[in-house]
Amino acid sequence: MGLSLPAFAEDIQVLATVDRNQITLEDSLQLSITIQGTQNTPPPELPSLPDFRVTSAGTSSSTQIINFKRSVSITHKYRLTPMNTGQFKIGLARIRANGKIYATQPITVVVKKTTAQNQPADKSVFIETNVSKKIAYVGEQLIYSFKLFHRIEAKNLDLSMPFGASHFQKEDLGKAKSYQNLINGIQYQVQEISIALFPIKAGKAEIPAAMLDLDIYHRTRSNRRGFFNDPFFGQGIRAEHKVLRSKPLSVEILALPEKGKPLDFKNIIGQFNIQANLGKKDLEVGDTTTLTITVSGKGNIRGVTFPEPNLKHQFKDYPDQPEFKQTVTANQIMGQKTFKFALVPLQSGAVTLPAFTLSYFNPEVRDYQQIKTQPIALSIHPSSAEETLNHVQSNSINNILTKPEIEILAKDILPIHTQLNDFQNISSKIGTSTLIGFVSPALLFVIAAIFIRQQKRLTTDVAFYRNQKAYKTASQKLKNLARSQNSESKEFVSELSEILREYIGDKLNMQGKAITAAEVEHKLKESNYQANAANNTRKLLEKCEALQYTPVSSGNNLELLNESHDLIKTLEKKS
Amino acid sequence: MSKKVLISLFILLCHIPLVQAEDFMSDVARANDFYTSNNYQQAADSYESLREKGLNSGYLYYNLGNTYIRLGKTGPAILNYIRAQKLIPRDENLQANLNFAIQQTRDKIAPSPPDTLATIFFWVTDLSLNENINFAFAINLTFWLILTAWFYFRTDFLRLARNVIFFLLLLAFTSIGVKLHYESNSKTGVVLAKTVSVKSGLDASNITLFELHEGALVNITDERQGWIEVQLDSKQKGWIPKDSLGI
Repeated sequence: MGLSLPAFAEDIQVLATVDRNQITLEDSLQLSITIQGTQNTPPPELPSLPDFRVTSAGTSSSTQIINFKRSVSITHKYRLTPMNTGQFKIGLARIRANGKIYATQPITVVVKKTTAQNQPADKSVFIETNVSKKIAYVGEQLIYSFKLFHRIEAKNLDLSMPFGASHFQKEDLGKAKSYQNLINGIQYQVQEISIALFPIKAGKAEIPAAMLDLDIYHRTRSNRRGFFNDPFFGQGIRAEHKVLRSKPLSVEILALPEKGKPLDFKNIIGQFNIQANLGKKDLEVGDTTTLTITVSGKGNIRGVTFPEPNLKHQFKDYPDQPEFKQTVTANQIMGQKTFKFALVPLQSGAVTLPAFTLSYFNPEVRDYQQIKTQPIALSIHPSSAEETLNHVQSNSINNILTKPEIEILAKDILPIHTQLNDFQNISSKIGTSTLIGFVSPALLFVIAAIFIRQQKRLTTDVAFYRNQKAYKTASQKLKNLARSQNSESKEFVSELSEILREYIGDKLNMQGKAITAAEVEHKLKESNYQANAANNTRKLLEKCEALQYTPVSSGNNLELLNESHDLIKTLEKKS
Repeated sequence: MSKKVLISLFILLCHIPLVQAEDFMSDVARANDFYTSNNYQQAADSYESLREKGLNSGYLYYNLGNTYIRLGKTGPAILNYIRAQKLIPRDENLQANLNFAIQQTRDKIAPSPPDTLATIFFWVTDLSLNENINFAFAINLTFWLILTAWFYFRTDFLRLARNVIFFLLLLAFTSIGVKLHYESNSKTGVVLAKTVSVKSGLDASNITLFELHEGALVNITDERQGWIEVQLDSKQKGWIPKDSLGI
């Protein structure tokens, strides 16, 4: 049964085989493509097979060592399910390996119709489809059922159940049912699945054939007793893949009659009931009550709608989102749709709510029907909190009735700016002045910090204080001395000498009165005063001392005073 | 000596924002009169003359924008509103008139939304550069005063105040940096020509990528050889002649 092809290369061979080449529409065949000599190839490129449905059935590989010679192969398996009868050719499959292309030989397969002996009664497995009505109106609910009958084990079911989407709308009716059924005394296990179909246009509609792929398992008895000589172990199981097809079904769809069609008809088809309930029938102005409209029945109930009730400004109504519940009873879609309106009475008095009507087409009687709710009477009393409520009410009425909206007639720009003081020239650049502005507070801080530090030192450092204050004190004393009347006396010279010594004592932080002229020169030089200034200081002090002990005044004490003042200035500058 | 320095510096600080507004007052009043008496062309000429004389005022640009709207020149109007926005960014009338002008354009391109940096420093876009600088001035002065006081008194409160003001000072300087970044990098241009073809390169012979119309707001990303590279928010890019764009 297998057809082989010599490979183009010596080491690689490809082989295409089928498990049988004559099958019926109910069968499927297995195409195996074996590549010998390598296992590292991409999957084969299959030829175009428009008359078959191709599914992969797996891959197997093998390695053999015979006489120390290793041989490897890989087999790609495909399940081919025929779609039509006739003679078909499975074309070349191509395999790429080691940079070369290998091809298989074509295989011819014959597909025949299902043989006559395979009648349902004789079969161990068969399928059946039916539709609830052969003639139906547009929008009428039809039930399309698929049943699988089997008396042997069936697994790996794959159902394709097209319904003709161009003619019908589909609605699922839940999961598949499983039950047992007796046919001609043979008990079958039945799997049933149903869908509801709603025709969408008039004319002859065809529901295409359903197709079921499945594996069935036959129990076989072997002649050999086998292991333990027990019949149980002689029993075998043979799996068989089957493809079962139903016959297409046709349904005649009628258009809805124009005669007698109500004006408010909205393509609602089936059998329905309607009911209205009101929460409170005795209430005050401003209270809230709920009006509930319930539509239930069989048919396309999801499409039922109601306009907002015309309550003639007696009520403010707030419609709620409708609720829809669907149930499936005896393969029929049953449903219930609930509409709720919150009503707030605006005026007191006895009021009757208008009836809600629903027009629909009843296919059972082949005519249009109308159902309506009973009018509901309710009494509305004036509000017990009238003043407050009236106030609120009047606002709400205005809001409801007038819906004030500002109508925009035109748009224009806002006027020009006329405040002249705002027209100031603004420099948008960062210049030197800006930088100075940022730096100057920092400079101020530095100056202030130096000042503060000096002030603090004056209070804590005696030597610093004396040094800082020496010139001021000495200058003041010299001025006072200049103003004294006895400028030619010896006391004058003595005091001048003392002022000088105290000044130097303050500057050098030492006792000034007890210091000698030679010590002064030495200390000044030690404290880095210029030698010339130190020398002049010594000379001036010696001159003062000499004058103190001279019997006659020299008469030039004021000159000495000026000389002292100049010396202090010189020392101050160079300190 | 130190007192004299202090006083001199104070006088210097006070003289920094010196303005010469009084020189322009009468001219502004005359231009406003032209506008209110519906002599829009003369009003525009007067405002433009003030601008050329060096008056840099947000309200001058705002009034000039209004005048161009009245003259039906949407491009120059939007250009002047955008200029005004840099100086008086929180003016509600300006924002309303800018929106109105954009609605009059064919492309109706709104100003770019703030990017991440502008979202973080949200106050920077609401303040002009000068306001940012003045804020930093005030914080800077306060910081150095508090630092001086802390130097003298050394209390915990002054230490805390010093730290807080220092943080604010850093923030103020960063704000100026961010503002300068936007002023120099994020340039917005306004199409002044009735229609301008946005080219793929620096030459009229290049293919036209798309067209913009008067008043369209664009981001300027480059300038070369009399051509300007513009970018829309949707990242469409291209080159247009410099003279067709107002900056």
